[in-house]
Amino acid sequence: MEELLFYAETREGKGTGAARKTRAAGFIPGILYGVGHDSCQIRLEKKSTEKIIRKLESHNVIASLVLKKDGNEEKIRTLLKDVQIQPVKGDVIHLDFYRIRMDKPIRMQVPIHLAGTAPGLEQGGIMEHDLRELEIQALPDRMPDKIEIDVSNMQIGDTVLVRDIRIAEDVEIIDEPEKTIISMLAPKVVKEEVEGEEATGEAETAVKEETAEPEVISQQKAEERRKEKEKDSQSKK
Amino acid sequence: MPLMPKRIKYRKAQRGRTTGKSSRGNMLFYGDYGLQIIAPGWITNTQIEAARVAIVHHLKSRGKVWIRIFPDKPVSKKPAETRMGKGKGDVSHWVAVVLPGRILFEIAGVPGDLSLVALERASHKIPFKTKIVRRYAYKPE
Repeated sequence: MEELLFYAETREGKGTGAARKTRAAGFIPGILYGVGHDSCQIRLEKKSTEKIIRKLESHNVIASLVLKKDGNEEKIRTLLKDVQIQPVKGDVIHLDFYRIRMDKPIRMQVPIHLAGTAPGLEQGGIMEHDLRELEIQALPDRMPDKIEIDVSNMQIGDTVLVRDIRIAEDVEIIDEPEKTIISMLAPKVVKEEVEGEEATGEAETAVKEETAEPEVISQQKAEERRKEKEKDSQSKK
Repeated sequence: MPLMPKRIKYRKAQRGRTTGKSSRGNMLFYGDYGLQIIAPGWITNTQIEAARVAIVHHLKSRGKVWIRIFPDKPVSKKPAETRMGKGKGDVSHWVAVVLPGRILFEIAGVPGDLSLVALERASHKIPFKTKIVRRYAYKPE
C-alpha cells in the first residue's frame, strides 16, 4: 500500500470562528491528537488535500502527517479518524488525525472488496451488499488495507457472514460474527403491469383516492379520560 | 395505501421552518447511487410514490430501491369558496420536510448507466433541484 502523505501546519485559535477564517483563507482546518500528547490545531492546503481524500475508498486510513511547527518539520504516523464533508457542495470541511504508536493495536474500518463474478447474478439474483466496511483491531503495520471476499461460488440464497472471513491470526475482527456482509436474494416475481405513464398516473390517483386516516393518540387519551370522568360521576350519584 | 404514518400524536401540525442543511441522512448508506436534494422544501406522499414508480418501471424489477424519506407531516387545507375563520381546515395530504443534502432514494444491484437514468426519471417527479450522487471510489463493472 502506498504511503499517504498530508502536509499541515499549526494554526492559532480554535472553535467555529477560527475554523471559518481558516476555510476562508483557502485551507482545511483540522486537529491532531493522541494519547500522551496535547491536541494541536492544524490547517491543510485545500486543493491537494481534497484530491487525496476523493481518491480514498474508506475515510479511515493510516497516513503520515508532515507537520510544520515553529520552522521545523516533523513526520507523524497518524490515523485519519474523521472526515467532515459539506453535504451539498461536497467540500471537505474538517479533518481529525489521531497519533498512533506502532507497538499499540488500533481499531479501524477496513473496506470490503468482492472478487469474482457470482453465478447467482447470472441466474437473475440480486446481490445485497449490507456491510461495506469491517471494524478490525491490529497493530498499525499489520493492518490490511482491504479485505477481499471471493463471491465466485455464490448461488441464490447464499449469504456471507462476518464469521466466514478468514484473516491473519494477529488481526482481530471486532464486528459481530453473525452480521451479514453479502446476501444473494432471489429475483422478484414480476407482476403484469400497465405500461409507462398510464401506470404512473394510476398510482398517483389511487393514492389520492385513498382517504385512510391514522390513529390519533391524543384523541384516544382524551376519550379515555372523558369515560373515566363519566364513570366517576355516575358512581358518586 | 398512501404513504403516511399509522399512528400520530396530534391530528394537525404547524408549518415550521426549513432552514439550514440536512445534518442526517445526507450520505449514501445502502445503495451505490442516490438522488440528493439540494433545496429545502416539502415533498408530498404522491410525489414520493410517483418517483418510486418511475424508478421501479425503469429498472423493471431488477436491483433494489430504498426510500430514505417519509411523509410524516400533515398539511391542512380549507375547502374552496369557504369564508375565513371557523377553525383550521381538514388534513389534505402528508409531506416529508427535506433540507438540502438529504438523500431521497438509493439504488443498488443494477449497472450504473441504468441507475443514472432511473434516478433522472425520478428527479422529474420531485419539484426541487436534485443531483445524482455516487458512492465514493465505487467502480461500476
